[in-house]
Amino acid sequence: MNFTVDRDLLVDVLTGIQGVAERRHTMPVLSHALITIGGGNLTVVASDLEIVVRCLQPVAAGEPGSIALPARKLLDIAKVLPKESAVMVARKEGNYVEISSGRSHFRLAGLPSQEFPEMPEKPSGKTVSIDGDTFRKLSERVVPFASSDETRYNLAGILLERAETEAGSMLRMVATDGHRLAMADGEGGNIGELLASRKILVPKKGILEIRKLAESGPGSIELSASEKFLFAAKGDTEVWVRLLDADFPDYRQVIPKENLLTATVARDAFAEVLRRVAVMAPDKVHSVKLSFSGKQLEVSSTSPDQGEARDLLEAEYEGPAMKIGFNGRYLQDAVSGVSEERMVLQLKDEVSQVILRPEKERNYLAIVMPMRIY
Amino acid sequence: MNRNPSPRGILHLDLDAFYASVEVLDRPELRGMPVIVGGDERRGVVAAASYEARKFGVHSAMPTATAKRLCPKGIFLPVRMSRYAEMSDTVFAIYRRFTPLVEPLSIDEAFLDVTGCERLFGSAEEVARKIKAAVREETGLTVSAGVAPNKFLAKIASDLGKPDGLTVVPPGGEHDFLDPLPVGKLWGVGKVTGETLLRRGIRTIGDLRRSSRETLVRTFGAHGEHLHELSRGIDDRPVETEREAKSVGHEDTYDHDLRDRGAMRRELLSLSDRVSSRLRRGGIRGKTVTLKVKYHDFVQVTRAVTLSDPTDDGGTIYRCCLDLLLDTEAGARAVRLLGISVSKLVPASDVRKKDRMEQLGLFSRPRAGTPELPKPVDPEKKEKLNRAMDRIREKFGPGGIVPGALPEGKPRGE
Repeated sequence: MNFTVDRDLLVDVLTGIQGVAERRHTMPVLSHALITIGGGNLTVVASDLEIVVRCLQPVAAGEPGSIALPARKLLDIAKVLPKESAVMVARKEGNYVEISSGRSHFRLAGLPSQEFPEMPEKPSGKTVSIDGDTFRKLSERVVPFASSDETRYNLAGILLERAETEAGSMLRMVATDGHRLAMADGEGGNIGELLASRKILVPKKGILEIRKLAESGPGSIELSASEKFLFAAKGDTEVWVRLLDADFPDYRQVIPKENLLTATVARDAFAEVLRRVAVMAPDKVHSVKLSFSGKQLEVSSTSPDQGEARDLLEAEYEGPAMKIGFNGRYLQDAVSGVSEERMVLQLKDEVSQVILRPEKERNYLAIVMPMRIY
Repeated sequence: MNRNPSPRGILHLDLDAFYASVEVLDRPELRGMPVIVGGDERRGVVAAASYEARKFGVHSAMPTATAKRLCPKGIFLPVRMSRYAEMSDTVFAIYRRFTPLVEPLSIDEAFLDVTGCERLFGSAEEVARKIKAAVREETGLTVSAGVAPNKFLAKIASDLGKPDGLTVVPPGGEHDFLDPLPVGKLWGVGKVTGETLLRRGIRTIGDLRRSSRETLVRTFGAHGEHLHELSRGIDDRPVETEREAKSVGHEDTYDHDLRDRGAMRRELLSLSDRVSSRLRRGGIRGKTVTLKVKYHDFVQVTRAVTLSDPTDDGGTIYRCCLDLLLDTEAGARAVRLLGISVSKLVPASDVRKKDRMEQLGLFSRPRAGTPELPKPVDPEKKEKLNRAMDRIREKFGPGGIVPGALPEGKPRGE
């Protein structure tokens, strides 16, 4: 096997797959990238068994063949070679390759390609097209709400489903960690073809890999799904994400319908106040207090032994005076998802979940459970 | 490995036939009679047997029915755990007069590190004598002692002189002491390992010491390495006091399999109560609550939950266990043992005087099968209540106050 490739292209491709090539893994081959030459193309694959990324690039190819090379080391080598240079890669005896550019030579040990896990099949079902920017926005809004606790397997995923709204058929993403929840809808195109009667639960890391695709430039992402995998493709890159086989809680049940008290605030001002008060909020719990009364919302925090912070914000609120505790980080994440100038907090009492959403749009809402104040 | 330059003085103290001895102490007319403490005849097992009963072949863990057959004239008594716990506390308090480094292994066994006590109390052997005398004088109980440079040797030593024994393994005397003993005396050598060793002609610890480390590792893996170390009398583990304990727990095996969830809940309440008062007595709190369930067929499962804040509150532990119980097949399958332990321990003094706010859960409505959860109580009030309960128990004994849901006449621990 041998081929010649542009150094910058090689760096790009290898950077793109690094997140999936596991560094510390029980299977050494998973820290490797599978490099294949054939049909005038260079194919680079990385897999952690849950996520598989494949990138295809036309190269000046010589002899076809394939080998698994340590992904990190290969990128380190590519990076130190001169920019815009041509890099020659040739397989030598055993599982070695020689990498050269100009007068620089590297010999790198790899593993036989047979050790690399088999590629999952491409789902045979219908393919739907989602605008890359829409996918990015939706995932940005909900991903921070997913659980990082790996023992809460079902909450570590993002729910993808079709939502029929006044605005038509939408792609909906939902995430929760058991204390808070976010739901975001985006233009789904023909999403019904993919999620007609099913929901899929996609691990957070997989959503982030697909988001990377979306961020690689304008254009849409092609999605399809099989029983086990969500498949996404854009340009020269393809991603397989193994679906979580777990039950996502019935999120509709926790969206309150009786939160009749509303407070309307300016989004940016609220975000600022939360950021300021967070400085004095206790570590770990990040607790802050929201005191609603009349036209003012007071946000405060107290750190035992350290001190306090307090700030005021204009609010349109007509309910009784109320003081509610929250994890300030949760509120900050919820506010980040709002893109309108004004936003609404819908309340019931000090111990029930609060809805945070844009004033007009119906395409996003966050629910945050309070902290009980004693 | 860094071996201590000066040898340690480790004591293993084991109260002789503890439950039976306490019964004899409380009812002197039983002295000299075969006393057997344990569960009932139908399915109980012997918890302790006096030395008189042991002459008939009765030993602990034997089904009570078998014991009755072997020793029909025996005095069979039910277990009075709270009384034994009380006596145990008295004895352990005596131990602590000699050294703060007391590691309780169970209600009747402990390791003590008396290294460096020479100027106060004399050599390790002398300390052991003094403790034995003090325990006998102050409680009337006898304790067997093993004195050695490490825990492993001390434990084997105490077992050799029972009852009322004192066996000393001097530093440097490890091989002379261990070599003639059968390999079964080693920790981790049960029936299977013992038979494998026997097939290789290894009968005594001396045989084991003389066989090559490589062979042992090849046959038993990491365990082989460990065996080789033990056979040479090497054991570097420190004596860990309760404050450093990894977990605090209690478990009960029931006379009848529990089938009804209501009954299980009551048992969990009792266990939570005991675990929490031990936590408070030790001045510690724990973050992880683990429930252990052993079904009637001896299949055992554990379920754990980690809290956001460390707790020493019985109610909190109880509510966690109710939730965890739902994740088991308890009820659908009959249960013979329940256990609760609390781990990830921190000293209670380290727990920050919080901001007094508690994160509420989005999905934490009571699930089907759980009774309506009581409204959470202000943690400060809860602490006050717990402190008051502890004081009542200090004054009136463990039965001085019990949760209302626990049936009368069935105080804690029985």
